[in-house]
Amino acid sequence: MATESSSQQSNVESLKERWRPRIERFRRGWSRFTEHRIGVLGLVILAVFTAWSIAPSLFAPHSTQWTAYLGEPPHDARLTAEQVRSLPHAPAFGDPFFAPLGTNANGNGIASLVVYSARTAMYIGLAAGTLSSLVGVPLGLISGFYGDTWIDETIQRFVDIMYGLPFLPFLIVLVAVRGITTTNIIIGIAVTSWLNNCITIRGETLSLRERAYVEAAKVGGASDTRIIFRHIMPNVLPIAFVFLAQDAAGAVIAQASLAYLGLADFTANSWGLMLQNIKASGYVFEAWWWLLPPGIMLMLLAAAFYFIGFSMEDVTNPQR
Amino acid sequence: MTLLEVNDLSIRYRVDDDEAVHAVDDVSFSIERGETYGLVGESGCGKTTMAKSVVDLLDANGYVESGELWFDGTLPEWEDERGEPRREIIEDDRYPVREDGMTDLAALDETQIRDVRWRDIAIIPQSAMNSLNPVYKVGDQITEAILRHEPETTKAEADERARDLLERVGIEPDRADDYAHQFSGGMKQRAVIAMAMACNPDLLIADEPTTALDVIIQDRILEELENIQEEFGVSILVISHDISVMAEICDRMAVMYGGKVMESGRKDDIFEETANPYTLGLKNSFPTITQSEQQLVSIPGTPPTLREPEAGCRFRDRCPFAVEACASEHPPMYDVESAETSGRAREATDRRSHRSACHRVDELELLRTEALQEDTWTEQTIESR
Amino acid sequence: MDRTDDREPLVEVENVSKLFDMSQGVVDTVLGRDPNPVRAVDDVSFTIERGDVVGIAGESGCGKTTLGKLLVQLYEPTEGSIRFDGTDVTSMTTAQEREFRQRVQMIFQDPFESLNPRMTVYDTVAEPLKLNDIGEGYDDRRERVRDVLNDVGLAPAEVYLDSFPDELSGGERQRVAIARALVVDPDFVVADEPVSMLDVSIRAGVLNLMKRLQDEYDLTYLFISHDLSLIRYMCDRAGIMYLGNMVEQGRTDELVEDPKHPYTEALFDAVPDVELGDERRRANATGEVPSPRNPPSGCRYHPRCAHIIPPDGWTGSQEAFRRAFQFKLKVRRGELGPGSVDEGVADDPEELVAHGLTLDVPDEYQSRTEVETGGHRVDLSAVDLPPDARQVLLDAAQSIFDGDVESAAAALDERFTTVCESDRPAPRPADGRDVACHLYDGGGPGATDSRVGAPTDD
Repeated sequence: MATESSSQQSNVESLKERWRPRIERFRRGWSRFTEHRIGVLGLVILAVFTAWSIAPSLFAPHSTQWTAYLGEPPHDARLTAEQVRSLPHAPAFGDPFFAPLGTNANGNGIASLVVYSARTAMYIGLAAGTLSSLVGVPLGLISGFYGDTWIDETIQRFVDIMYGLPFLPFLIVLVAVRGITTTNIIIGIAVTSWLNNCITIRGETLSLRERAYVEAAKVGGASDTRIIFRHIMPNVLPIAFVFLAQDAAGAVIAQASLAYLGLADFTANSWGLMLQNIKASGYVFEAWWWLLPPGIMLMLLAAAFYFIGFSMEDVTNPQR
Repeated sequence: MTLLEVNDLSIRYRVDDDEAVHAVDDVSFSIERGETYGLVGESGCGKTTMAKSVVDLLDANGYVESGELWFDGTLPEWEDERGEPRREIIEDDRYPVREDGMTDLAALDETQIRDVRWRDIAIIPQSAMNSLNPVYKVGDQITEAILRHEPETTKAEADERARDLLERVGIEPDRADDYAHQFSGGMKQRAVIAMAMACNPDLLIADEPTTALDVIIQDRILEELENIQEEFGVSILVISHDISVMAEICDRMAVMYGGKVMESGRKDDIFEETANPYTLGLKNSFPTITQSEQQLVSIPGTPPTLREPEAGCRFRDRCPFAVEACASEHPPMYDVESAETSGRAREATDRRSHRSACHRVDELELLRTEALQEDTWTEQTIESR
Repeated sequence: MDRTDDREPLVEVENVSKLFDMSQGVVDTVLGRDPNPVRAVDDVSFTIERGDVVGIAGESGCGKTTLGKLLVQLYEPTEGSIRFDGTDVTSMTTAQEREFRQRVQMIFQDPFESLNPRMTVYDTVAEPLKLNDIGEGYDDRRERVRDVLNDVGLAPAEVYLDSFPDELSGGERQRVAIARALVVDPDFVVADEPVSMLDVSIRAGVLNLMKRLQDEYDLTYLFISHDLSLIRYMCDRAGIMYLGNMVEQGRTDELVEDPKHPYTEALFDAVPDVELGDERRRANATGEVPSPRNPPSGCRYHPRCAHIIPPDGWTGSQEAFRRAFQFKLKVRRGELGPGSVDEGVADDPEELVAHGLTLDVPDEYQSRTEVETGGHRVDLSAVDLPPDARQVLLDAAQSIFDGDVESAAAALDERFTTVCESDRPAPRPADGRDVACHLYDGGGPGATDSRVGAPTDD
């Protein structure tokens, strides 16, 4: 019994040993990252949105079902005609109800809607970005490593063809054909954004495979696969992360555009959907408290991703 | 006749956090007319900085902290008909010109130093082959250099001189109409030498003239430099890390380490009567082609970073002969000959004599014999990793 | 070559060639051009015995790095065969290949590039262990890495194990590279310029380390360098390469003290040396290394050679032939024209000949007139040319003045031929080593065709 726990102990110990240098390195990278206030700002924004995504009820003043004058569901009354006429209502702080950012035409609180919608944007942004990287990075690595052979040619021709696909029309068709679900939207976005990923990674790999440490790995007996994924990929990951950040930003905007065009999932609250609603109900020029918040949130999230990407680029490619 | 007198020169590089890198610290030496002077040392010892500072080609964050660079020549506007500085210039304290007519180059500003460059002092940079402009003909580049610094020359004269110069360095004058990529590596190097000599300077600074060249071409370039000196009577300041090259072409030299001069004097003195532990270590680590059985000894440890250096001898960390005195102050330049004859260390007064910066200069016999053993070097505990 | 051992040689290289750029683009094929490959290594043969320290020396473009990579199977030879311990490396089974990868290792030139910046020292050095399935588990591997790091002088090893390359100095990185090569206990190590990028005072330490490790690990080395003093210090035997050919090989001491091949002689003469100082004799060679894409015909070194062999029936001196041959080369390259002579004698063929017969060599090998005129002309009467040869030169000069360079070149080509230009010399034993030079295969002046099997080149 004692030996078991001690061997477990030593396993844990050696695991800690193995990870210590990487943690050390991460810590140094972190301090470098925080030198750029922009990156820190992006991280802060992202943290806020993440919090909103995980526990929206903590941050939103009401639920999404809350209605002005009536309160939370279930609603035992109906809105009077006069109340209906007052909607969308400008920000009210207590009288006749508490809605810091006002309400929309249905009486739902804007602030609550905005907080609850964060989840959709974050999910789509990260999922689409990740999917794009998962496809683009390996293909880029393989294409670059076997550069100028049939493998590379095939992949690159495929990429060329895909480039010809116009983004938005393709998305529209895809969504129209397969249905308006968030998953489809994510797939649609990833399908077009992996291309840049692939090409840039390919370029990096082409140059990295000539490095002496790759030759050293070959002399050591490493197989091609091992060289690509153990030796080259770690050097390519920094750029991949930057692309991830950019793709995520793009995905957020893309989803919002789709929502605005009426092609998004109606069952999920999203900022783009809010914009679509305000357009559909015709209050664009009257209800600024309804119009501005979703737009600003979209901008902040996309910007946050970009800022983080920018700061990461400096961490991984120090100019000093 | 002294051509260049470096006096207690200190050069720093400004880096972030208000720190300064002491690239060159309190260096003094002098170069005579018609002689070849060598600055030898490893990377980071300050030799390139020293050379660049003569004509103010330091990077933007480099500056002369103290000291002077006295040069036997002056700006054209301060000259009289004989080429000497005018009386009133010398007398006036505002001009950096001394009683004996030497000018302090370190005190000149950017526009003034431009008049000195190329006309009086020319520099052949490292990897000189890359300093030829690829879009102009080689001959034109030389012609332009002449015209810029001697504007009274006519284009035809300058062209003639350019071709003549090319021929003197062993290139067919016709090749003046070719572009740089049509020249081979060795020819490019020679063309750069020709360009440097275009205005007949008094001092030629050659920064690592033989690195990046194949050995047979290197041989020819060294010969070329010798010929240039014979023909033009120019003084040459050679910077290199290769002591075998120094052994061949220099008349006198200075060994630098950590921004300081460790030993200086005549080449023969330094090689045969070595008087400094660093020089001894350096000599030991160079294989020679002539000996079949050699024992190479390396100096353990790494050169210092020169950022806010500590007090004490710069070489102390790696020196097997360090004693207590070495920790408190960097040794001054002691006179070797007097140390050898009288057995006492006395500071050198004559800049041209054989000098060494070592507190134990009175125990040279001991140092020399012990330095030959490998254990002396390997058995020290090096603190710096 | 010394073959004092009865065992089989460890490495046998036989007539190995490596060509690059053998394919060509669509345009060239359509236009009917032949591919012009670079013959980086051309017909090289040598053997390495167990325990040898062999050096390969040469200037840029000579193919030594390519040869090194061929020996570790980073490249495959285009022609010829390489055998390691009896096995042909180009046709190995998987099992044999694994064994090869464990027994043969390489140390690279650039310490900053040969370590993966994202892998710790431990990762880098343990990688060959993982690839070869050596060591049982993480702890065992870590122990082995620690041992080898201590062996290469990186002690205490614990401090280094988890560092990344950018935290280490150049000398330390190179030691890590050596540790990586040695951790699998190889038999044969190819070191490609292992110290050329290190500070001079660090070099000796790394070299001495390599010497010491040879005894400890029972290694055989192939040491590649352009620095001849290093080769002398480290290697018992050496081979000199020029433009892909191995021109001479033998014991290092003999090569230095009594070089047979003119290139070897020039190479060793050219090295500056602290002992010799300014007494050193300079290298007697003209011109520079040409591009490997267009090597000279016959003996690759002949355009630069001081001992070029005049044809049978040449009645003048060898030196005169050398000058005349250089004249021919200059005309072929278009370097001689009316502008080469002074204005006052613009039309005089004698002046052009006097100018063209100069040699671009160090002063000590030039004639007095040459030295006096700064290499501009020779004293024509002092050059010992046969009278008809002189006439050919003068006629050619006249043609050049008349603007007809082609016929001048053709006439010179016909008159001034040499076996060095037409036939490539095969390596032949001479005085205990192998030399590829016509001086040693009976191709000297006046000799009849006694060359056996010397391949002809176009």
